[in-house]
Parts: sequence; structure tokens; C-alpha cells
Amino acid sequence: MLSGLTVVLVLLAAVNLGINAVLMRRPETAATVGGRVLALVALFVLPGLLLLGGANLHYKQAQTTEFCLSCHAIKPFGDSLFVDDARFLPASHFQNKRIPADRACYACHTDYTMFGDVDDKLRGVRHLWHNFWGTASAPIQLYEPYPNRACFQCHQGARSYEEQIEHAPFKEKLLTGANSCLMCHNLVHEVDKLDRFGSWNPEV
Amino acid sequence: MIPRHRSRLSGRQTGGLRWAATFIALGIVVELPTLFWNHTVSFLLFLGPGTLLVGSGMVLYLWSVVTRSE
Repeated sequence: MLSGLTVVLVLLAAVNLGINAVLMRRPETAATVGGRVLALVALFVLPGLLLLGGANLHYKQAQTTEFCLSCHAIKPFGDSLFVDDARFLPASHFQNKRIPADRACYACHTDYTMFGDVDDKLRGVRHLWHNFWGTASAPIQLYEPYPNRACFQCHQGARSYEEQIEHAPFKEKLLTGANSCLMCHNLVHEVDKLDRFGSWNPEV
Repeated sequence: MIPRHRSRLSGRQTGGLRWAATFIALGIVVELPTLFWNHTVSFLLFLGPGTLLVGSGMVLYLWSVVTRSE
């Protein structure tokens, strides 16, 4: 399904290509006042809008699960979302709709800080580069230990976290990051062990 | 009656405009398919060759605008 933004961008691109065809054949059109305005629109305003609109569209697309899984190195991590074992942290989040299915990777792997989105995008461009040239590290590793704040983004203040008696002794250390949530919730993607577990089929 | 002034473009200006229009058209041709393809390669095509071509065209246009007529 095409988004409204895509349709607008395609229309703008078609208009731009049409005017550009005229300017390519007869650049002297730009000698008149009307021609100058036309040239300004076709060679500066419309391309600028197309760049901004296209970048916005790609920025949104880059947050989708489909986008992340289009990278070969990430494919096994996508498979791990379908493990038929509730102890697997990403699988239980994905299968129970605790995170949006179409933004499954982004929901847990965004740096929830002031410039988190920007940092992630810059890193993302570097990842794309490595994916394109096949120079991604194997296996893929996080830059730093998984931050608790990503978990707290949803779980802090939630009854299921706050009233869980097992959490009580660790709350302070979890908040400061001295302890990791993954100390106990330690079955994460485990991509090298996936063949030992059954797979959940949502169609059945 | 004052004769109506019609400015002429220099050869350098018309060449600049023609190249600008060509670069931008090529950039759009590269960028258009990427809008329909949610893939890492599509992102790279948009960000790399697409932006480079369209951006170069825009810079060439600005350059041809500020270039003095002969």
C-alpha cells in the first residue's frame, strides 16, 4: 500500500522530470522572467523538496522490521523472534505483541537518549555500508552492553515490574546500570542455538 | 517607448543549466524506484548516487545563476 507521502513525491518527481526535459532541450527558456522562475522551481525548489521528502520516507522505512531483516547478517536475529519458547526475551515480546511487530527491532534497539535517534541513524548508515560490501562482523555484536534504559522505557512503573518480588533487591542497581536486566533474563537472540528449539508459526 | 529588455544567457550559463537539468533528472530516475522498495540497498541508492546527482544538479544550477553573462 502506497503512503500519501510516496504519491506526493512521485507526482512532484513527474512534474520535475517534465520541466527538466524542456530545460535540457532548450536551456535558453530560462532567459525570460517566466523561464527563470521555471528554472528555479525545477532545478532548486522541487529537487530540494524531493530530497527532503525522500529522506523522510526512507527514515521512516528504516525503522521497520522488514527493513532490518533485508540485511543478510540480521536474518537469524529475525528468525529468533519466532522461537517457540517463552523464555526467549525477544520472542516473547514479539509473539505477545509487547512491541509493535512492524517495528520490532527498532523498539528495543533504539538509544532512548536526547540524540538517540540521530546516533542510531549514523550507526545505521555505517551498518548498511558494511552489509553492502559484506564486511559486517560475524557474529554481530552490540557496541556496548545492552542498556537497561531500553527495558525501562516500557517496564519502569509497570505493575509487572514494580511488584515482582524478585526485582526488589536489584532495583537500585538496575536503575544505575550496575546490574543488567539480562543477568537474569539471559535468553536473548541466541542465534547460534536456534536449531535446538522449535519454531512458532503464526499462520497455524 | 522603452524597448523591452530580454536578457541573453551566455554559453556557459546554458551549458550549466543543461547539465543541472540532466543531473537532477538522472538523480530522480535513481531515487524514484527506491521510494517503492523497503530495503537496505534502496536506502543506500537514495543516500548515495541519488542525493549526489540531485545535489550536484542543484549546485550547478546555482553556479550558472551567479555566472556573469558574456
